[in-house]
Amino acid sequence: MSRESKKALYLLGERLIHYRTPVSVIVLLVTMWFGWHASNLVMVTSFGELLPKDHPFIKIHDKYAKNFGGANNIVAMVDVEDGNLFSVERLALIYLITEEIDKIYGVNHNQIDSIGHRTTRHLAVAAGGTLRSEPVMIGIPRSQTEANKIRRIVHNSENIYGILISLDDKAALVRANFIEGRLDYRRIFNDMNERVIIPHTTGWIGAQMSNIDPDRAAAYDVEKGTGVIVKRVFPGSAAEIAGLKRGDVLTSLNGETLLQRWDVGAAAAEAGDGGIELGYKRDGEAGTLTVRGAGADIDVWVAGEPRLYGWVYHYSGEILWIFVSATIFVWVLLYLYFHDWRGALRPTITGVLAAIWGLGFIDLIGLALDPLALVVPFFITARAVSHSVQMHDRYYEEYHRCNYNKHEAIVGSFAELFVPTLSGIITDALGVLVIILVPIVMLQKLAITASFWILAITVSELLLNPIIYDLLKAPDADIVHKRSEGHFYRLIEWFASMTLSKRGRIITVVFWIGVSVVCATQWTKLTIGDPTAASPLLYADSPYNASHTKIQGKFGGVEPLIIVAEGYDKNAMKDPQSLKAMENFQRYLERDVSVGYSFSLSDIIRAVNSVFHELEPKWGIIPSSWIDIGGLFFIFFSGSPPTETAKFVTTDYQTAHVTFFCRDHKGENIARIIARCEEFIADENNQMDKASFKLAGGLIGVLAAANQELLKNDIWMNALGFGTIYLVLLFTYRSFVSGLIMLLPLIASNFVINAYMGWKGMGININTLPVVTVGVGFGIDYGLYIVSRSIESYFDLEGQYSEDQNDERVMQAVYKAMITAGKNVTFVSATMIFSTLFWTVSRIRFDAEMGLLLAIWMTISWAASLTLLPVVLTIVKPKFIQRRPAIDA
Amino acid sequence: MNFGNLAARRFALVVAAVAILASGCHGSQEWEPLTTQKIYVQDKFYDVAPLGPTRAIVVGYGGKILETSDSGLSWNAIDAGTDFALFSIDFASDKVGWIVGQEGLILKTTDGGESWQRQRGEVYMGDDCRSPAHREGVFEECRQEKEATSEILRSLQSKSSKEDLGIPPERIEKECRQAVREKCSEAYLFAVSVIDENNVVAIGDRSVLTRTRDGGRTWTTETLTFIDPDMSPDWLLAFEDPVLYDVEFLDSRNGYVVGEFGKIYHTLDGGESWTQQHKSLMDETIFDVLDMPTLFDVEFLDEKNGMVVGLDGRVGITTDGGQDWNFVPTNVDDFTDPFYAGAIQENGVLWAVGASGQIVISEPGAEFQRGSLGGSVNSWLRRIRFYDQDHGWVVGGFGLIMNTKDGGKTWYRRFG
Repeated sequence: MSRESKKALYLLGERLIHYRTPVSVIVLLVTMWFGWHASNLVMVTSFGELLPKDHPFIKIHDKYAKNFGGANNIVAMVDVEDGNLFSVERLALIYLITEEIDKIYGVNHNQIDSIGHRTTRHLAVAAGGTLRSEPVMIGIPRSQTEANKIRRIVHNSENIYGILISLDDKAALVRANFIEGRLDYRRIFNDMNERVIIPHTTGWIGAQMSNIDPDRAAAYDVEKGTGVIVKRVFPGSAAEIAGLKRGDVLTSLNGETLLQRWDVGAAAAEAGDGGIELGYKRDGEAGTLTVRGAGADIDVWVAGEPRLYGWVYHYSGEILWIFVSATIFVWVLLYLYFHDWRGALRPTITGVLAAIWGLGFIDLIGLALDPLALVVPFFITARAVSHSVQMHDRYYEEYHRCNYNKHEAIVGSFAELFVPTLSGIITDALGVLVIILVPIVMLQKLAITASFWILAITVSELLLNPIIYDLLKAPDADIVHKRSEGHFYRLIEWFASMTLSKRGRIITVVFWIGVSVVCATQWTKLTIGDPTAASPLLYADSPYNASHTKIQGKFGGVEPLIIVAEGYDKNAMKDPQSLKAMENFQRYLERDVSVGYSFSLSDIIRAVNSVFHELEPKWGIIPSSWIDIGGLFFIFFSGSPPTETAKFVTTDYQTAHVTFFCRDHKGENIARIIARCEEFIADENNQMDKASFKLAGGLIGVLAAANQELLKNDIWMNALGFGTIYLVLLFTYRSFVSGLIMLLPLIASNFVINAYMGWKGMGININTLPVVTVGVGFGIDYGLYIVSRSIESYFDLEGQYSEDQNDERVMQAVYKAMITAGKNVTFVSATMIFSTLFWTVSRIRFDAEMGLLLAIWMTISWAASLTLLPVVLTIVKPKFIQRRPAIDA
Repeated sequence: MNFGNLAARRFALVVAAVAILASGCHGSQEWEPLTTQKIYVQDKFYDVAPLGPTRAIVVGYGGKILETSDSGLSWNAIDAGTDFALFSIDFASDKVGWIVGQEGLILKTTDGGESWQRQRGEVYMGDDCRSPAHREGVFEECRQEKEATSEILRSLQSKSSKEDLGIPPERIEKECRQAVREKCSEAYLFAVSVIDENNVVAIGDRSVLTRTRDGGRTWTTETLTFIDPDMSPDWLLAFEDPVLYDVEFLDSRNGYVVGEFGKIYHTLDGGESWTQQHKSLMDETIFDVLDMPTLFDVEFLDEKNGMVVGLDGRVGITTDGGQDWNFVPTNVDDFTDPFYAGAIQENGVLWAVGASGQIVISEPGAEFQRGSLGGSVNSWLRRIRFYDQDHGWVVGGFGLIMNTKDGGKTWYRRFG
């Protein structure tokens, strides 16, 4: 195409080179500013931002989470193989584990459920025959008789047996809710390992220990902040065999000063049979002893969202290595392709600059990096590299065409690729911006930051591009020549000829129709929400999912769904009808295969009524009179502070809850459970006079809200995503048909990807949605480069074909585009596909799957852009490739 | 703008259609149906009526009635027409039987348990409440009070307001019916003993005893109390209206009732008069009637030999028709929870079952020893009944139903 037709762009290129110093300084300053912000960036998942705040479920969740529990529960299961839990040492372990969990940062101390926690109470007969409510375990049992007493309490408490202790007496649950504002997944994960799991399993030496209060250090003759006192040694344990005694002050561990009680367990677990050496003081005399054979005969399994994210954070360090490996790999490929270090440097500059701007912007708007969203920046960087490779190759091509005149080559490549590059970037940015439709703060912030990041590619690719090439030494002529020689170039030529031949065109059309039909059979399997019973973020055999499965097996459910029974006035929960309705709700929904068990105030009232009447099971019913109910509540709750009772019912007895513990959070199961809840609530037979049921809190409730928002906005996002691309193409090529033809590769790749996700059981959720949405526009830049080059070639062929030979001219133009722009597209695709495959080694299943998904996506996009698009262009011969684009004009 | 040629326009239409299809199409799948099993772990079963070697009917919480004809391999759920708890079931014959339960509920069957009809027992706990006029008075008093309140509210209403601040009549009606129920509630009937197709006796809360002599057409209710004017206030508590938990009639005249404070009442004239038998249970460890353990079940093999079971893991036996009762050692130290039910097999073997899955068995003439249902059973066991020497049932909490076909040597957990 002639220079005159793009006069403005050539002029812009010239001006940028002329003003290279001020432009570079401005870009540098802004980059430094963003770089400073980027250096402050932290990796944090903000749970609150994952929720659609305006959804009615979330409003209920927010209103009652502090009372009835939120969505962030840790569930620890203590499990024994032989015998049952009711021995002194095993009950001690449950008690100590509960105590340690209660000390983890962020835990809501009044929302812990365990037989070892003060808030799990039962009715006991006090002196004089009066009844009083007291904790099931006031402390560690001192004898087997006390252990048997606890066993009897458990078996006679409907609100405990089967809920916190399994029906076979072999497993105990410790469930702790975390305050959303204080969630620190990494810290929770480490504390659970260091303070809860290891010291009470593989590192258990059979002694109850506590840190010495710094204020009392002098009394124990230890330095402040050091020393551990032995409170109890269990008979037959490794500690007793080693000679440890109650009251011993432990001062050193393997010769080092002992700082924390859990350090003993960690060292014992690590030492295995080797044993640990403990320095101690007893009756003023110092000594040492060696403890061998640590280990408890219990297993501890931990599940729940904070634990899940803890594992994700634990594995997220691998991402750096994946990124470094992929970068090195890309560098090598770029060098091999261009035979020149500049070819590797240029995309790197673009990628790094865009990343600094993007990361800085994330910090600037107060967002943090989420380990599960890292694949999106990687994806954006891949786009940046893609544009850069096109530009660099075009620069070499122009350099050759302009008889090795560097200045002309810089300006020419800038002007010729300005339109497809800018269109591609704008299309991508607007395509990602449609995620903003979903009213989930995290996704909205992601939409804004990802769009900005993509737009930042223009800084290096369009603004700095002429300046960088001006600063860099021009390549040698033989390097430029090598690009259009060799096996790769000949392969592309052969491929282009074959594709555009008559047989090739028929095969292409038939192939893509066949692919569409096959994909249609799999596509309908695509679901909203999580697709698997355990967490899809990690592999099925990961420690987390193994724990999740174990707990499900014993107790039937881990994930809470909280339905609030909101009273119209105080004491509404003393109404027998309210309690009966809650009980009926429990029995109804427990019949759903995905619901394990449930809990409500009605369980408490039945259990209390039975105990109040000498444990007679026939009294284990909801009393018919609110006076009786009020009396029983008074007996049970009178000994507890309001902060404790608030987890069951508000202090004015106006509002309570029914909590269902679900087996999983598969999207289809959540949708079904919520629909069944709504059916139950709508049934006139289940209406309460003094209250009404409100959906929904707990993990299942908030996920239901998120899934509903995703489903509601999914169609809009797809339509807007495609619509945006269409409009940009309409503007670029001044043609309705251009958008339709160029959307074909996108539609084809989206077809295949949706089918692949359906086939592989991947669901659309808040984690996968950004990736999928970013990918909607994937490949449009390939199409833009090929179409723009086709138009350019069409005019380059002016005069070589008569009017009657227009079809041949179009064919030749498309062919030329395939062997030039198409070659670059092929190289970029191959580079990106193979580098993206590095993600598949991640132990975070989500990252691995998304890496593979994107690799497949890029493959399909490339294939469709290099086969379907050129073939359709040659069949339809649209007018828009036979005239100049609007922006050029 | 150029819309292209005809081919391009056609092409555009096809692509647009595909694009619409491509956007946001997600699969819909068939919902997993709600489970329809008959027995759930949340079920609580209180009583079982063995009607043959393989046939039995089990009753429990929430109006649950289950019937099996194949030793529990399969179950039919029978509609009770109520969600009240069903506490006890007994049959006069293969066809005619009764169930009693929560809120004075009485159900009768005449077709072997296929269907149940509610009978109007009106088992009110207070003597005055048994009078319809008294209950109507309670209602009327409530209604007048509410209407007066309603009038006051209306008088406070501004004239311009169109909203009626008064209490709607239907709400007054509903709330006052509730008030009557609160003041005159019907007793829980914990046990029923069916003597024949006409004579049935049921007992329950607040010493209520109700009976019919005409197959359930009419029921008369009384309070079974033994108050001595000279009793101390403490004793009065034990004697005024103890909860009665079981009734057993050996024939139309000879019957027993047991309940709170170790109460054992005996009649030899079909319930016209009752005598107390609990005093013989008092010994050097129990010398105050207030310390007497609640008795939950009474069972007799014949006129002479019987047993009672109750609180604190107590088992009492008599060999002389209740003239003399003695608590016997169960020889299991850690069984201190209640025994809820006893059973006597035809060969004289005694069984007692209770909380936390505890079981003791006594061979004829031997002392009690720890028993087992096999496997790990920790839930409460509320009833054990034998149809004959070999066939028997145990029911309890957490959906527990078990049966034996070999006299109790092996037990099978039944699931629905």
